[in-house]
Amino acid sequence: MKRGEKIALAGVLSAFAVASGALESLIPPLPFAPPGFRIGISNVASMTAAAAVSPFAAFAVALIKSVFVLITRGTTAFLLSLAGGLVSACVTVLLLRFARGKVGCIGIGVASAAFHNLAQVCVYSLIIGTAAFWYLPYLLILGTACGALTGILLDLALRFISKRDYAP
Amino acid sequence: MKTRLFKKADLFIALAVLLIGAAALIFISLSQGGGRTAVVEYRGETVRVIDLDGVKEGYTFTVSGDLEVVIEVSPQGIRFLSSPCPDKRCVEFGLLNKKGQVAVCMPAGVSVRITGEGEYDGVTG
Amino acid sequence: MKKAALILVSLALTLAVSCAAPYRGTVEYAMGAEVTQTVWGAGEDCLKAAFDAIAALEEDVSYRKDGGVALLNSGGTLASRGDAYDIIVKSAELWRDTGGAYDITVLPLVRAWGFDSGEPHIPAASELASALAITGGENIIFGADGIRLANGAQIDLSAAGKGAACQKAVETYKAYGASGGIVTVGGSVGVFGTKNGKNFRIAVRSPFDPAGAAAVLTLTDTYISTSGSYEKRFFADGAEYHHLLDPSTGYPVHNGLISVTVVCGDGALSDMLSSACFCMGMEKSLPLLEKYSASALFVREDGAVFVTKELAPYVECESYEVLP
Repeated sequence: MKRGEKIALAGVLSAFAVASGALESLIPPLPFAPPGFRIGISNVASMTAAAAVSPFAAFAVALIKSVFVLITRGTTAFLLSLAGGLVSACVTVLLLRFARGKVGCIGIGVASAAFHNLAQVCVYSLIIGTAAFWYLPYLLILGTACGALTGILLDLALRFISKRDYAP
Repeated sequence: MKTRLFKKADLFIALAVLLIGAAALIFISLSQGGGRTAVVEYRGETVRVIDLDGVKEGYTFTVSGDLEVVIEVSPQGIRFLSSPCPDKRCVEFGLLNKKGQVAVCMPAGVSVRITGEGEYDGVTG
Repeated sequence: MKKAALILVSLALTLAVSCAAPYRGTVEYAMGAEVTQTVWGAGEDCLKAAFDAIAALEEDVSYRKDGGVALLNSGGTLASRGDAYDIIVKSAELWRDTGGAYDITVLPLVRAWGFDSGEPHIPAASELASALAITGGENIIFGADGIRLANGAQIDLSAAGKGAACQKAVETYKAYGASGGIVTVGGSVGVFGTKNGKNFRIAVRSPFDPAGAAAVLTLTDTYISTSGSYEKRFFADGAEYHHLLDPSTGYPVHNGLISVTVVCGDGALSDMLSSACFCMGMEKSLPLLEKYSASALFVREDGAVFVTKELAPYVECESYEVLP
């Protein structure tokens, strides 16, 4: 992939992250999920950026999405989004750096979702105290299913990109 | 190298996350509340609920299940004292005094378990 | 490998659904009381709908609002439908069954004592007499076109409203497919389903220690209400007066009881029966409770606890006596 193509792709992914994040906050929460729980479709964007562009792009996508959250939903939501986004991007980058070929998209999705939740609960606990960790088991279990879903979407995105001959 | 949809390692990642989640869930449910409560049930129906931390003097009582079993409550815990059942497994369970412990007398259909609930869900009055 | 992924996803989903996280609502106010709600297997929309249902009920049954009861108290005729109508019909039946000990026409008495204003006082004899003159369930006239009040009677459904409100909330939880839920409206509690397989633990407030429990009940799919003389009381001229008034004398009930908790499958009835039983005393309450398939826990002024035999297996209490 040429440099220009990479920048263009990172831009498209950032836009997708912002848009899917906004859309997801509109749909009603899953009936059995704890408050604030989301599937995390926008995570697909930073994972795709990590896999198809560069680690730097993954962090940039997460940061851009968080800034959008800061503008639309305030500081608390921003901190939660930033912590979750950066930590999960970090996990994705590390997995691709050290275990590429050994882990699949679903594994990346699940691990990324788990650390996303962990980071958010940590930030949340600074606000409401240790009671936040009470939600962690539910988030981890539910997050596994949602992480697998984002993994499938990541696979679709990578296939789409490689068909266009942009394979890294 | 191409990243595939699913590799064997993914299974381990997912299982690890699920296990941690389940373990945390169990840990939280066991550590909640301070009091130990013994619940005596006959065929799933609650017969008696005893706040074990509030027991000061020991006593025994009889539960008329399919067989008549005698249960002993003491400050140390709760146990099946005697049962006319053939295998006496229930008596062999011995003293229960920790959250999550269960003793069952299958022939009588009577079970004793210790729950970790000291708090309540609501207040009337 | 695809199959394994599929199994994994379904496993995770099953786990997630089977241990539904509780969804706790914020404390809100209705019926002149705190409303707290927690549901399992449903979300914020369910709690909001339940609170809306309680608010709609309050509109109809509170004499302070502008609904059915206000219409009756201002001399109007209430058509034979709606929440207020249903509660009045139940109340009229209970009035007969209790020989007048449960009476919704006590509003003039409540006002004479100032219990509605928050500034309770001993009423003047003449004031009490004129209030007593228009008190009595016979003043509720059931006609072909609905209900009206005779003799200037004024009704107050606050001895039924909180229990009825709990039932409104629980019906909403069921409609939203929740797996469990608990609602408290003031001292009334409604429980439904389970919290991930476990029944609900409800503390009966200790009349002697507002933070303590006289007993703990482990229950589900029912309604629990308490009438206690310790709730609203004041001291005057060296004596204690409380808000549970005897409709026949106009004075606070004194029969040795300090609190009565009633467990019943109908929300409004649990609330109404707790008031009725408090007024009637323990012995006369037993046949009444049996008629309404309800059970009760009585706390006497000396702290002794008595429990009807149906409720005994679900009671946790230091010491109590089971009633025959």
